[in-house]
Formats: sequence, structure tokens, C-alpha cells
Amino acid sequence: MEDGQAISRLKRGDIGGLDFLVTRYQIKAIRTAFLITHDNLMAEDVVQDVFVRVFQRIQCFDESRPFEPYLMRSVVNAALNGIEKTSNGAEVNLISEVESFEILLMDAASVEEQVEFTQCKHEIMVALLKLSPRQRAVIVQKYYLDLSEKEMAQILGAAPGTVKWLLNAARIRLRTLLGSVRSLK
Amino acid sequence: MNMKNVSHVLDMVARDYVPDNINLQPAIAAKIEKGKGTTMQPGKQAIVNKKVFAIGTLMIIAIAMIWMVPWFLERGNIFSIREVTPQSKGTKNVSVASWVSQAITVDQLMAEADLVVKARVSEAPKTRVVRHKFPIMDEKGTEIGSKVDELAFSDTVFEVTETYSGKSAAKITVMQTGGSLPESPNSKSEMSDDPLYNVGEEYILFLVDISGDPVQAPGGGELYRIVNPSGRYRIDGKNVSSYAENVDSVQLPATLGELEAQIKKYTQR
Repeated sequence: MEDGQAISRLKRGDIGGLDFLVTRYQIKAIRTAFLITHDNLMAEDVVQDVFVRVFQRIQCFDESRPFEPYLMRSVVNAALNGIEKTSNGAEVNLISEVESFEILLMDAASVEEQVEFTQCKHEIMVALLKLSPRQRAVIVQKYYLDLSEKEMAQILGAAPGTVKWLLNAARIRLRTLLGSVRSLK
Repeated sequence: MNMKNVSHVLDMVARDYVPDNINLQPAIAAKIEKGKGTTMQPGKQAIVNKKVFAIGTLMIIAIAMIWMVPWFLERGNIFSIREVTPQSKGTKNVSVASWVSQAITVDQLMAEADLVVKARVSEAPKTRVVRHKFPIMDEKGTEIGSKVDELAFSDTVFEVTETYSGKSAAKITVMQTGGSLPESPNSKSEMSDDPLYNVGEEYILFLVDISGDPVQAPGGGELYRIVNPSGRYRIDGKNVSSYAENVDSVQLPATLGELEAQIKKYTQR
């Protein structure tokens, strides 16, 4: 069954359509929410609520449209809303923390030894925690969901230029720093 | 930068905390049931929603008809119209309105629109103030006086560059709620999701013909209004953006090509 068929079934009142969509996307959706919230329970709660909303609003959804981008956008938004209720909203240094995180991410991607990779994963988690929710949302959308900068700007309610500037500045610095980090190893 | 590798790394990081064997289905089903308050099936829920919507619409129509009774009784002396051009400078009051039409998608808008055009604002909006006199009653229902309410409507002339559906003249007039009252020409009121048009702006508009409407077009002549803010797409180069607010359940066309393709697809059915 394809997403469009599942949505059509759901529109006709067949709950099996929702079961299909939940089974297909729940893990990626929870991981997306978790990478932003750093809270397993909140992540699961966010995804549950998003699927409930899908169920409630399914009559308005055009089944010819791809479902996954819509779902993941909703998850990112809901995760941000969820965490903003519990955080004080303080923003850490915008550029430097994202740069540090991207360096770690690139290093982890190039690691072949399992032990070293495990250490990298831990460092990534620690680095992610240093970012603000909105910064984590940028990272998750760009590197996990593979969204375009335009789509990211729409989700975050920021100007496309802001997102572009943030990522470009980090990448330029990254190229320089990556060379020095690797030469030290 | 190898994006797939990086995505995999993040997936591996998250996997340590979110294993593959999680199943949210029971929790989601429970939340849906709790939200419904009964054990009805989604199909039945949809029917109930439609019934609630229909009853709500009927109530709105009934209230509107009650409001219109004095007009039918006193036709000819309850409306007077004055014109003033809204000022670009000064204070602005933004109001929020509920729209009767719930259309969101292009198909839904096409189904409700009498005319669909690409058009450019050629003349600044002109505001007319419709004065509505209504009686004040005491608790026994005896008329003890009257009150006059002012409604500001603005009419904007568009030059039509393309007609997708319906028959259009080269120039059309589109009505909006809001504008500047003559008493305070430096103050502009407008709806949050249907702000007043500015000369030079280009749109694709899904319009309803309101010519002859006793409240919105008492002066006669051909007049249109948008179906709702979803039916107002601003053209910015190759991109378009709808004025619909808080619509995150539907992916709306983002480019002119995409919007025109959806319109044409509908008209070719």
C-alpha cells in the first residue's frame, strides 16, 4: 500500500489507513522529535499528538501530495512547541555552537572504528545539548531530514537568508577547522 | 559533504535512545478515542463533523437574516454611502474575522469561485461606509430607539491579465471589509488575513460574484470578493503565497506554475 492509498482509506473512515502511516513513519518521527527535544517521553508524546492531528484533519489533506514531508514538518514544529513550553528560551552562541556540532558530525561520518564511532556518538549528543531548540531543529532538518533551506525557513518561521547565513558560515569555518582537527589525529 | 552518511550518523545517535521496536499505535488509538468521547468510527465522526458544520452554517445564515430584517423593512433609507481613499500613513487597526467558506485547496476554491483570474491592482482601494440603522428594543420587545452602525468596505479595481475560470471584463472591482472612515482618514482598518490591496500588486484571485448583494454591494454594479483568504494568492516573480492563516495540514502551491497547473487540471475535468 502507498501513502496516498492509506490516506484515501483513512478519509473513508478506515482506521487501517492510519495504522499503516504510523507503522511506516513512527520511528523516524520519534527520532526527529528526540533529536530536537532530547526527551524520549516528550518525543513520543509529540509524535502521538501529530498523528492524532493527522487523523482529525485528514479530510483536508490532498492525497496526491507527499505525506512524509508534511508529517516531518509537523513533528519539527510540535517538538519545538513542546520544548519551548519547558525551556527558558535562552539562545546560546548562534554560530560557534553549530560549527562545533557540525565538525563532530563530519568526524563521526568519517570514522570507521566502532569504538571510536561510539565515542563520537556520545560527543554528538553532548554537543546537541549545547544548542538551542531552534538550532537543533536547523541541524535535524538539514542533516537528518535532508530538507532544503527554503523548507527549513518556512518551518522555523525565519527568513530564508537567516537559515542560509547560519549554515554557510558554519560550513566555511568547518572546512578550515576540519583540516586542523584531522591533522592532529 | 556526504549527506547520507551524516543522516545515518544522526540516526545511529538517536537509535541509542529510540529503539526500532517502539509502537505508538495503541497510544494514538487511545488518544483518538479519548478525544471523541465515544467509540464511534472515524467515518461516523466525519459525518458528525459535517452535521455540526451544517448546523453552524445555518445558524450563521439565520443570524444574518435576522440582522437583515430591518433592511427589508426600511429599504431605501438605512444605507448611505460615502467614499474616501484610504491613507497609506497613519494608524492601522487590524481585525480578525471568521469566514463562512472553509475552502483551502485549489480544488475546493475552484468549486466555490465564480471567477478565477490573474490580475494586477490598477487603482487604490476606495472606501465606502455603509450605515446600517437597527432598532433598540426593551425587554418586552418594544422599540425604544435606534442605533446606526457603520461598516467600512473598500473596492479595488484590478486589471485582469488572464482568466482561468468564468467570464471576466478587462477590469474588475473586488470588495474587501475595512478601509478608512471619513471621520478619521489617517486611520485604516483592515482584516488580518485580507489586508487592503496596494497598487501594482499582482494576484491570482478566486472570486465570488456579489453583484447586487444588499449589504456588500448596495450601490449596484459588478462586484466581487475573494472566496476566503485561501483564495488570494500574491504573485512574487515565479513564487506565489496564499493569505490563508494557520494552514499546516495541506501543502499549498508555492510557485505560479504549480498553482496554474492545479487550476488548469481542475478546469479540464
